[in-house]
Amino acid sequence: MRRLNPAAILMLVPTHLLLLVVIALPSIYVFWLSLNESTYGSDLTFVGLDNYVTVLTSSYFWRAALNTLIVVNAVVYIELLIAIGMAALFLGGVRYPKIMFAIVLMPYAISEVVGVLVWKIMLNSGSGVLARTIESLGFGMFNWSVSPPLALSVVTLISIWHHLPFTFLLIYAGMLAIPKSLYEAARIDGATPWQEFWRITLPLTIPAILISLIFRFVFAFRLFSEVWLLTAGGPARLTEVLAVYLYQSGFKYGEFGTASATGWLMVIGSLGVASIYLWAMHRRMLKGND
Amino acid sequence: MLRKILATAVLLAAAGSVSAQEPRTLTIISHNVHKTAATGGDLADAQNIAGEWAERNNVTLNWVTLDIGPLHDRLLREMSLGETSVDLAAVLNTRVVPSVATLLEPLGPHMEANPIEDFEGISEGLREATVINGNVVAVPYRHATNALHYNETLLEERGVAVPTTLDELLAAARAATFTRDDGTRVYGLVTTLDTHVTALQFLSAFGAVYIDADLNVHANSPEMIAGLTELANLYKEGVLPPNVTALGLDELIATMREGRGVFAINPFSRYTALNDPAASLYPGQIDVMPFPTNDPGVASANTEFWSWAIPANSTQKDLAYDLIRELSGKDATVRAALNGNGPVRPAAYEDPRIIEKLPYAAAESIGLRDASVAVPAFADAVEATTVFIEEMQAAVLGLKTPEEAAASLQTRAEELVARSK
Repeated sequence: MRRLNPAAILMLVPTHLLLLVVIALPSIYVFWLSLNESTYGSDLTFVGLDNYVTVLTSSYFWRAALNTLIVVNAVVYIELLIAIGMAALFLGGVRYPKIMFAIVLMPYAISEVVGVLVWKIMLNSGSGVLARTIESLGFGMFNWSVSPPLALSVVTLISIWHHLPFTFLLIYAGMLAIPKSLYEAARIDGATPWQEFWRITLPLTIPAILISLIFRFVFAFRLFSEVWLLTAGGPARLTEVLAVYLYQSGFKYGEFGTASATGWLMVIGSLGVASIYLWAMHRRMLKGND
Repeated sequence: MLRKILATAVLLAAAGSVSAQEPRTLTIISHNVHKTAATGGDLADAQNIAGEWAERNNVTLNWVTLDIGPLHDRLLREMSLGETSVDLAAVLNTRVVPSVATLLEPLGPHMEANPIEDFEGISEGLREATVINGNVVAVPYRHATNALHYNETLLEERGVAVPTTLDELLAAARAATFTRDDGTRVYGLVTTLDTHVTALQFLSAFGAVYIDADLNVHANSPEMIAGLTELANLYKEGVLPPNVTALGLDELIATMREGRGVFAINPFSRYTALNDPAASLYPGQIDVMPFPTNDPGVASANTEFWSWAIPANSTQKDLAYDLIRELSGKDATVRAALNGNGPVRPAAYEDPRIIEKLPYAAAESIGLRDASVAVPAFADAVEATTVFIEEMQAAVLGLKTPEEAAASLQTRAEELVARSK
């Protein structure tokens, strides 16, 4: 293993200092806050793990955790499948590639808030163009706002729509990096396009898929705007996700201790999920180094 | 020589006066309605009360306008700092609780030094609600008292008379619910059930009270159960819009303007927006009246009110107080009402300018007379409103029976009140 020389360490210092100031110190402070009772205009009172007990014994927290788990898994895996399909399509060649590329990337360029509000207007059960189309097709009134499963499905749909370009880009870049010679050799050996995809493209895109999974799980775990703008966690708090639960505790009720505890539990949760994929990546790296 | 000295002195004095008049910036954090009330916003005949004061005092006003939640969140965070750039803030009555009051500048000394014109002319109930631990911490500025808006044209079209009692209203809302030939549904009653205020307005017409001024919880009362039952029935029958628990204010306004709603529960001052000729299909045809009860002549009115307050860590308290004085004066109150503000001085309703310009002035003065605060201010008032919304929505959507929702609400609200004490 190569040892870092003083010059290299010196060059790494600014980045690490930045990480320390921007991420590590606030995280430590939030952890300290999670061990205290705190609200606006009052001093901190140390309460040990009481805030964690409060959060973990709250049925709203567990409902929010379940909603988060369902939505996050649906978002990440559906998005991944679509992104792989689209990237494979682009790899094989599409007509007017620049225009198609711009269309695919467009949702990512739209502000999240604007995007969600436009979807909300289109899905308005009384007057929205999409809702009325669904109704005119004979599916009945699309009254998603009072049905938690439907509301969470809409959240999933919007989240996929908005973040698909990110996953697509990672996977497409991964696919572009595959040497062309492998495909030429496969074609000489008589491989079908499906076999090419299954035996070459997919296995060699796994590192990119793992990276996108890690990123998307961590990002999706913080899911907030879609839910807040569509339902604000309602009706009757049935569509709350963890970030909304945290927001309510911290910024509506001013309970910073429980909000901080929720934040740390979210970090632990997303780390738990991400660690599976990090471990898989680590194993692949070790294999590659052997 | 003397001339030169005098000329130099004059020049120096002029330079000094120029530097003394360098514009100062006063930062105000409020909802957009307060900015419109104080400046007239984009109104054709805007009364720019704050602007005139700013010009006189060579002050630049920096308005930061936010929605209710983010506004208080930002303000409270600003007030928790050693020093804040926010000099003046609009605060909602439910947020002026003892813990927050400690972060506000006590206004008593300022008022003694420079009294507000006819301070006693401001509604007594509102004034009293801004006194915390013996200190005046805010000055009431705007009330939003709920009322019943109705589309006269649609009522006529359906052959339904304007109701005078609660029972008549319920019958009229049902009779006025229909589907147009093009498939557009017209809802008898439109309201926002994602907030506590409008729901409590409806329930209070049945005599229901959630938490009274002495912090007694009455959620499990027969009146509350009757109101919740009726609300749930209206939802089941399609009199309320199907997305009523997620219906926002903008959507309510659009629904009424487009003739997709006949009756609506909203503050009196919404009259202007609903009848806006540039945006409404029914300009001048959506009237407003105090929300009726079954007690003839007695209205049911829930109100929320906003006050101006100064963060204790502001660096320009005197200047901020001077603007409060200006905005709270008798004439300024009338002029703000002409901008669409709910005037906190009952006498303002007798002003000829208001009588001439605001057709709902007489109705609003009756509403204000019978009004009570939707939820009193106490430490966990915000959480109490969230709990109410949750249980009310559960009852309306049929997730719980009204009895179960009311019983649960009683228990949970009592816990919050006990915790606050």
